[in-house]
Amino acid sequence: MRRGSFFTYDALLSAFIIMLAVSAALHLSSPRPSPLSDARLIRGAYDILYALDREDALGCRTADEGLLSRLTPDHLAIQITIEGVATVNGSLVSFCRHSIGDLPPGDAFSIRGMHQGMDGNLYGIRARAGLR
Amino acid sequence: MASHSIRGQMLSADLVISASVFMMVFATVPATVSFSTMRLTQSSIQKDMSYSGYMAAESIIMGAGYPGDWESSPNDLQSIGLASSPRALDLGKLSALSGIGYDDARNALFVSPYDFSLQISALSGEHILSYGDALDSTQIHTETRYAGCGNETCRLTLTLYGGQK
Repeated sequence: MRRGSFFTYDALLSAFIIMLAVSAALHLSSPRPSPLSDARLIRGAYDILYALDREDALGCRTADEGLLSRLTPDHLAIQITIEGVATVNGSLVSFCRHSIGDLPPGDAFSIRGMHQGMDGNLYGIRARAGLR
Repeated sequence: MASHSIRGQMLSADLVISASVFMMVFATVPATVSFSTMRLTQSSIQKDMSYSGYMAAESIIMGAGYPGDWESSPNDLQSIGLASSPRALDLGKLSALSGIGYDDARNALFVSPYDFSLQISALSGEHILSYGDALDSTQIHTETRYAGCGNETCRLTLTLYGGQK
């Protein structure tokens, strides 16, 4: 009876110490999100939208998935939805919606803006950006 | 007698198990502490490089530097900025950067103690500027940003190098 008790306490204590050390090591070495990574993510997404805007690659017809893919760094994911609306006397005459890019599940930032295409149309841009 | 013998064996078995567990803990804890310390140091350097790289890239593409017309008097350069307005690179500042010494440029970018290299190329593939040399380092951090340079859209790649191999 005494032996059983002694063995159990010893094993429990040792296991506890080992688990404590391992969990502390894992906790200390695990990456954590920081405000800096948020700032880099948002700046990176704006940069990509800026470049696409300059290249006129944000229209329903001119949206360029290949260019978006080339511009997006490995650590970033961005999905852009482009919406174009044309009205005459308040009546909707045409509407288009086009999405490029993909975004894995997880936290994402949303950015909204407008793009004046070289075709003369004004497009509403919604972008969602996250980390891969 | 028999019970004495059994009791003695129980004690021995206990002792062996306890000693084994103790040795395991004794061997595991220092290795774990050493590993964690190394990871923490690397992580700290990586975060510092990430912060320095982000700030340097931001000042390059968003600001004109200090003084604002440093390209006309490079000896007065205190802070490097290559933009005439946010995200619009100034071609005059780009060509003036080539005449700045590496150490002066590194200090004006505030990336010390890290080394750096800067590449700017148009999306069409045209090479515009290459400054600093790529190094063989144990820790590397890269910032990629986009800005206008004249009629072109440019990709700016700023790379920081940590401990040399």
